[in-house]
Amino acid sequence: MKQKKIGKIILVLTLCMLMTCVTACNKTSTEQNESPEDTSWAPTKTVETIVTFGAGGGMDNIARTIASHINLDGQSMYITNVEGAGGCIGIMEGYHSDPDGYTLMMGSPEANVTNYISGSLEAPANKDMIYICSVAYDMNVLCVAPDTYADWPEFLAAAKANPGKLTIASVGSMNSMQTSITDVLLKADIDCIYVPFDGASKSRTATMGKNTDALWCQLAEAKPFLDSGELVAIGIAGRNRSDIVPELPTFAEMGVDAVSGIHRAVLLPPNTPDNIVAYYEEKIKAVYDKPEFKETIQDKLGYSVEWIDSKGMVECAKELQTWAEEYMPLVLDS
Amino acid sequence: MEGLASFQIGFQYLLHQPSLLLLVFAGCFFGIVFGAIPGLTGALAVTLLLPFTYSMSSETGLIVLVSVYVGSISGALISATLLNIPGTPAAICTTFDGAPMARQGRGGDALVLGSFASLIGGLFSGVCLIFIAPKLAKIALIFGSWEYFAMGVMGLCVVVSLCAKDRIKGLMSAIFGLLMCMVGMDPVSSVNRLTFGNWQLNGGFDTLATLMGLFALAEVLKQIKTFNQDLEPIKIQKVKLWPSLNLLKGTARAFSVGSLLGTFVGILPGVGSATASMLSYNQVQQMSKEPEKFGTGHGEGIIASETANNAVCGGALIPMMALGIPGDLVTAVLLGALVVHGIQPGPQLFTSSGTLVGIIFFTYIIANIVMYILQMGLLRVYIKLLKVPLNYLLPLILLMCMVGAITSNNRVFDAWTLFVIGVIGFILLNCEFSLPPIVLGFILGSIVESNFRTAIIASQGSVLALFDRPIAVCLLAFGIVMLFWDSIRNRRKVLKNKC
Repeated sequence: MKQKKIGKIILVLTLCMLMTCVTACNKTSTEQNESPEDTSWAPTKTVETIVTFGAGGGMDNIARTIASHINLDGQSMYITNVEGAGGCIGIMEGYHSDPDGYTLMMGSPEANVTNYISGSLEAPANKDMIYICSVAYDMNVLCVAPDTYADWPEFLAAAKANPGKLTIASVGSMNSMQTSITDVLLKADIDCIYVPFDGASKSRTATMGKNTDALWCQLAEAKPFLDSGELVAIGIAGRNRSDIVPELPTFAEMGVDAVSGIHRAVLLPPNTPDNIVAYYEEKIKAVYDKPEFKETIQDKLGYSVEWIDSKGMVECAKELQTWAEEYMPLVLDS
Repeated sequence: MEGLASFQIGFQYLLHQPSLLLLVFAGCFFGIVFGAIPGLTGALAVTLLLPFTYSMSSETGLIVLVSVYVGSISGALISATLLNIPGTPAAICTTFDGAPMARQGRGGDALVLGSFASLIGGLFSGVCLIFIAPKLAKIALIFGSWEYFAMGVMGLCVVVSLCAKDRIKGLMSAIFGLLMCMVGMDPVSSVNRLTFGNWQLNGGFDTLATLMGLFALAEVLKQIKTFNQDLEPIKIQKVKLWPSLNLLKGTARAFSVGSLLGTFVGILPGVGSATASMLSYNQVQQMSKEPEKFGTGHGEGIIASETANNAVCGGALIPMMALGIPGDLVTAVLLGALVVHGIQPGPQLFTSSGTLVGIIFFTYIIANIVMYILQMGLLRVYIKLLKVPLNYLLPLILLMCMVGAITSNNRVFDAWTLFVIGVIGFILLNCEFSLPPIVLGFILGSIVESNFRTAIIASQGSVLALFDRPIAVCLLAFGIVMLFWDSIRNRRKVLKNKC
């Protein structure tokens, strides 16, 4: 009896070992097939894109626009919204996904950098994850309620007259928003109170209701309210003026050399093979070049479309890394 | 009377295209089904449908989304009443009286009353939406961090008075809820709290998973004890088309308080329908001639909760349309849908997209009526749930809860949240703790904390700034009065008796 049992166990074990050998061999053989000559890759099942913010928001709308126009050789792309902790949960989900080309992530390098330095992200997403491209860039703007401050010099004068008294509302803390406004304030040599709200609409309401003196946000978020006259923009943190609000002067023009905004980038998990990155870069570029894309993203949603390819994004990520490393400690001090 | 004129435009638009009315029916039906199944919510229904509406015209898309929204809020009363599991936090207070009524064999009455209350609440806030939307929206701007903080504290005071039976245990539950809402990344200082180094916890506990764990899983575990026992058959009442006059007697106060409070709270972004129905339930109980009957299957309780949570819908649409500020999760998604179609919400919406505004107005009103008609048909089916053997029903409920928990934020981690919190809930139930204060503490905790902290930062650490805000002070004073209302009333009674 006992011997029979042992015999059975041995049989099962050897079978298992054989199986693993066979599958392992299979793997190596397929890898060999792929590597030297044939570098093309195409998905054979549906592709998931993780969006680090909720449905209906800016990130989500851009991702859904890409998903509805992209041609993945017969496969389709679906969107999964993973919210929480200022986008950190979604970033970590994307970070830990398999690098097999079936999970993409829509996020921003600004969030990846600052959340890691502040300790909210457990892994250096900006350094490890692979940027496919960035399709839109949204500059930060400083807005005030109408009939409070006419322009930036007036705001500046008020801030200098009342050091540490004026309040600036924005979303979250220890993130790109707080870092970028700290950058502006330091270069303008004024001292204001940063008030972090837990949502874009809350910070906007606070400024519209004159509960805070100013609002620091992205242009697309403020655009409808600038049009309706409920908010007045007094400065934009772009290198050049924005096409969407050409009359608004940049901070650089006004003597404050601070540039900041949010890139809307598409990413892949760390260690994804180059051929997969190249595949998606080409496919997303094709979507970007369609006139409908610009129509939806820029004309309807208010984001400035701007293409940065994977190589450009490597540079961009590095630049942001040094920028954040320079200014984040100042934020942490204050 | 601009509002009325655009309402007429909406009326004409839908009348010329009767097929759109079919969409209202379909949307409401979808919403009710989602609302009635524990674990699936209106927010989920709207987000699922959102991508489909991108390909529709803006008018059609909004008609569908608004109908789903209205349907889902009233659908929640079905599972709250028949299964004692609130489908959304908004229906927690409906279980207080709805479930006992169903257990007494008056399930039909409870459902009709609840649906009727939903209709009245919805219509009232709809009328407010049409006539005074732009003016009312300004309230949302007057409210700053201090006011929201005071509102949250008022809510917490009400939670305490809701657990009058065993005050100490009720308070313990509320504090447990407050502690639970602190888990995760703190939105003000971006510090991770109580996460024990686990990044999955950085996002905090999901509200839906928490709610389903505490109510659905704990309830299922409780029911397991009764498996394979011969239960005495529950009498199934026939569902009438209209609540009888007898049922409606003396409930005018509940209807009016619920509608007013619901609309008001709806206008305030982020306060939510759970808070509205709780405030209304408490207020109606305080004002009632028979406060002791609340919680035992009293009609007024169902009315208070259901009018308020449906009135929130119309209320939440007001700041969304007039200011572009979403009042709750679902209106946030609706706002996204508007923006995708190139429509910018704000005061200019009423002049630039008059037709669309009219369509939203008309759809909202008609969806409430359609919702009532559909409820009357569906209730006859749903009430048979009471006859389904638990052996079949409970696994299904668990499955739907799991699906709901995972789909709400697309994370398997939330299923574990549901499971662990459910087991804790079951243990607490067995120790005779009441569970609603946990969820309400959980929801209110974040409102109180984040608003207090932004307020304190803006006023440079001085609490005295509170006294510059008359509305906040009034709300706080009101909360304190509510906290001691029971003892004041008892005192009065004792004094009267002495005389």
